[in-house]
Amino acid sequence: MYPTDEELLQELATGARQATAQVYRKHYPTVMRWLQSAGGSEADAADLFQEAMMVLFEKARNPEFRLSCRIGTYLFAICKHLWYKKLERDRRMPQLDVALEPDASAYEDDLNIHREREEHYAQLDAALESLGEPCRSLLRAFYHQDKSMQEIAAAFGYTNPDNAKTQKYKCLMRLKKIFFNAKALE
Amino acid sequence: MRLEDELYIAEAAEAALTGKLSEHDQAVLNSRLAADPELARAYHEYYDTISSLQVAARRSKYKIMLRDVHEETMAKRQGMKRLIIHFNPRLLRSAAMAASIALLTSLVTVWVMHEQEPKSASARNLQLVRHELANLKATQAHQQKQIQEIRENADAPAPAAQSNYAGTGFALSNDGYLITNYHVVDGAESIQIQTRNGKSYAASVVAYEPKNDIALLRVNNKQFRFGKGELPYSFLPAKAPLGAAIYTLGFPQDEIVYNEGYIASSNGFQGDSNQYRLEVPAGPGQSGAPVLNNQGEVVGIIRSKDAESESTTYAITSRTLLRLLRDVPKDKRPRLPQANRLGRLSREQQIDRLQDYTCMVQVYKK
Repeated sequence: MYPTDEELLQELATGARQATAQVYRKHYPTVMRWLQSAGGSEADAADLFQEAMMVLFEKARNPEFRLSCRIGTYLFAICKHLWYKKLERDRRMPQLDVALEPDASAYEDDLNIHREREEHYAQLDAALESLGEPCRSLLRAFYHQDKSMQEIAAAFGYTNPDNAKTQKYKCLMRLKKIFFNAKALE
Repeated sequence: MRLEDELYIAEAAEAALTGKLSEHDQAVLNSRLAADPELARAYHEYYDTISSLQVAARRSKYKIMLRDVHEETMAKRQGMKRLIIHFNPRLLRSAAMAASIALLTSLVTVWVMHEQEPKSASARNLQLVRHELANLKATQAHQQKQIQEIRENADAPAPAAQSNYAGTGFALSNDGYLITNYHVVDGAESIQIQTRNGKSYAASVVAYEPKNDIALLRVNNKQFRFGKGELPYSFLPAKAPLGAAIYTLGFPQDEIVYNEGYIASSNGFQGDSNQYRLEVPAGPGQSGAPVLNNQGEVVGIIRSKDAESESTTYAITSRTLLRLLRDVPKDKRPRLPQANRLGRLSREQQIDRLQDYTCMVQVYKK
């Protein structure tokens, strides 16, 4: 158990499971009960809370980040905003009553950054997808799966790690091109 | 830009990001960047691309962990024992672990990208559904009344109509909810399901989603139960891994038919991530058949087959089904089974249990 929110957040920022589980156990039930009373399902609550945890995770990684309220308060507010946004999108409810929410704009900013970020990584993923093989798998093996060039050379049939490395940079060249072209088209 | 320059600048960006750029190399790089604006621009683009790749990996690992923490938290709340898999970064080094994460990671990342658009599209479709459903219900009620009137007048049972289209369906809950393909029930005048004992029951469409070709049905008689107890199978919330052994039960003819095969590709027709490509024989009438893994978990629903090949078949993933079901209003949504009771049974025993919950869907169209 981490005694203070600050220590907990520091751990959370490293992606530590224990800290994550602690936050989850402590705050998820509140969100779930609230959402069920607001007409959402358990599955909605899971989606919502996991998205809010991603917002917190990214925020905690920012060295300048200082939480101005308790973790629970923050997560709850983010969940509420995400939910009202979803309702708005589904047009089940006309509009978010901003006046009811103190500090609403602060959360809005966080969520806007979060949305932009999601879009950025969706674009990167789309670019990776359109690379085709072997580039897609090669880059994933290196960047997502932390494989060494030695392992990659063996797995992809290159004669030595240096060849694999050259191939990796050639793939990166293509990825960069697609990624930045897509960005320019926005 | 020359290829060597391009490779040099890409490598330099990566070295800078991983802290492997020596002071000397840094100085050389700086002077080259200062002298050549094109090189400088390329450098920043590489820097951005590589750091995005690094962050994307970190994010997707965290997302996977979050989902696991969620399951663990829920399992603890329900007092259930569950095998806990820790995603310890040090363990990631071990090859087997890395391989399993690798698969999860690539699925998750593909998913995020495909999910954005369709989600809003499906919400729109569901709204349409409600409108059309109202109409559908009205005509159904009207027809039932007419049939009853005919029965009363003629004082004899109505002649059994011939079904002019048939597919397969399977239970989502014991109290009469079942799932099949949208294309099976599209344009239906009436729908009958025929269960293992040969009896037929009228059913209605509760919701449907044409894009992913899914229709949620319910048997009209609320007293109806598929079997004696809750469904023996559960639904796999993630995508089944490539190569997983699978089997299906469907109705290409009057009798139920068993087929087995494997997951041939993680994505379906034209790379659709809401589907798998399977290698399993399937024929007309098997649309809507459940696809199960060795443990007896439902991993998908048969949808279509390749016209050119005997056994290249496409199935909608259980993951997509679960996602779509979440959009159905709560009072019209089945309570899905939570526990899988087929895991320890032999394949023959699994099939025997499944037959109570798999049915033929007979559709009457004008």
